[in-house]
Amino acid sequence: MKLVTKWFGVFLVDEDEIVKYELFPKNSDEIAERLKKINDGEILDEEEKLTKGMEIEKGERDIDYSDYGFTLDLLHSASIQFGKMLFREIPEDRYVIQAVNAIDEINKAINIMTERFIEWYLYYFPEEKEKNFGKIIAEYDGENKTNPETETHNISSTDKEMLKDVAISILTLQKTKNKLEKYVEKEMEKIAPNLSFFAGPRIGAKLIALSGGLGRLSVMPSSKIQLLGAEKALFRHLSHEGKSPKYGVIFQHPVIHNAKHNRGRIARVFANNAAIAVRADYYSKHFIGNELKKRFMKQISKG
Amino acid sequence: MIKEYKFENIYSDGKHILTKGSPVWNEKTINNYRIWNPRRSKLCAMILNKCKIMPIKKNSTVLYLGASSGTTVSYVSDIADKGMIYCVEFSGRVFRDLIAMCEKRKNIVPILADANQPESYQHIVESVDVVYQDIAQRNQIQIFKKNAKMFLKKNGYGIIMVKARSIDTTARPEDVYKKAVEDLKDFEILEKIGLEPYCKDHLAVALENK
Ligand SMILES: C[S@@+](CC[C@H](N)C(=O)[O-])C[C@H]1O[C@@H](n2cnc3c(N)ncnc32)[C@H](O)[C@@H]1O
Repeated sequence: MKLVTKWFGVFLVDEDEIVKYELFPKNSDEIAERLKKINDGEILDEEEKLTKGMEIEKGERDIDYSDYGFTLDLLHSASIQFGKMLFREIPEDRYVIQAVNAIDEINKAINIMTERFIEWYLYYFPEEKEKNFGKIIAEYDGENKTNPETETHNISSTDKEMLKDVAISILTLQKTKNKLEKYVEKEMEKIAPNLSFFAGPRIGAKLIALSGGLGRLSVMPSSKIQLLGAEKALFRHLSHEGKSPKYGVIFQHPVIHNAKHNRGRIARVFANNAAIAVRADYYSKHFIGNELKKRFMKQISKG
Repeated sequence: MIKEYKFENIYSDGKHILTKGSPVWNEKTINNYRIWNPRRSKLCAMILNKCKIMPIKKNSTVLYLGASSGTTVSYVSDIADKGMIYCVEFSGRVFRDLIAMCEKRKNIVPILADANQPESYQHIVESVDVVYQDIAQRNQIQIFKKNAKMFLKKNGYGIIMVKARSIDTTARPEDVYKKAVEDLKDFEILEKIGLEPYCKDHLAVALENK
């Protein structure tokens, strides 16, 4: 016995004989809705009705729609309606993926522009120390406030103006980045509270982005989660040009980052718990973050 | 003078290949016949390069893999005006345009899916007379075979636009074509047609499911 689902109905087939069936309504809205459910892997009411809860394997068989009074006009309209549904519905994790990727790109831009600012600035104040530049950029108005006496020669007012504009651009980017970080934090709270609590919103969102989405991340083995974001290093390793990487973006987490020894093991245990967090988020959103964190600390303190 | 050109529902004015149907974009028409551009459509290039067989006919049901935004599909829909075209495309970006085109054509069913996974549209597509494939993919022959096995009728036809560059970037096109044809040995190859000068590095292969 097998269950065959077609766009126009559900059929119970025994040894190639159709023994029972449930047709869909002859209406393109209704058919489109069912196409959507099939696409999402949901069980149709008609399937339940036919199997009465028994487990029956899904199978295939040619069945002619016209034998049951359906026309291709119906399929045409339903498939267009279904296609439009796919666009209307943007999965809730898409926004946070955009935002966290934007943060990465802005970060790169900030770094590049800061280097440029420093290089330029040092023409005039060659003695200035690297560590002061955060402050200098934040306050730059054409003068050196931290170390005014080190100026080598006069800066022309156009140069001052240019440097100031560069500094302002960097600050604007920083502001945008802060806003995006708050946004990611808030969104992650909604869509993946456990992962966000356990790994931090930024790393959590990055894992979602790298895997392609919360759904995909939820079925990913933890060994793969551990390496998400290390693809380049992994590739280098596979072509025999480098060490096998032990961690991807999760390296940015302070527990792993600051570990003095056993980093590989800690990364593995971390990924393990992150995987549990994601599954909880995907299937129920039931909050188990506290227990997970405790569990994790215990696991890594055992040496 | 517009005349039927060798095949059902395909016309010519001596200069262009034409089909009959309502315009979809603002493409040029001659006396209400749509001009078919061989540079934008490999099927048209295949006709201009004098293919002897046109598997797609008035009444054909066609499974079209790699529909993109539907340029060629719209002409196939004119040819198979009494048939049905199931077209599969996996890029959401172009699928939007494809749907817009399908709204103007009753005989097309658009499907957003990966042609690597024909199971995912098995509940929609029936057995077909023709499987047409134009997806620039490394494993395109394998994808064609999977789909043909599942949907192509016995004695049905296949048209494959084999792309030399995407299957193997370093090999010479002739070698790539030879290998592709070998991989298709379960079918009877009817014709092989180069698409130059309209389209580079492509070979059209027409075959029959024996
Ligand atoms: C060369 S274009 C097709 C052009 C189209 N046949 C025409 O002439 O108008 C190839 C298309 O195949 C799609 N494609 C590639 N691999 C695919 C796959 N596995 N499943 C479905 N579509 C695929 C691409 O997204 C792209 O739109």
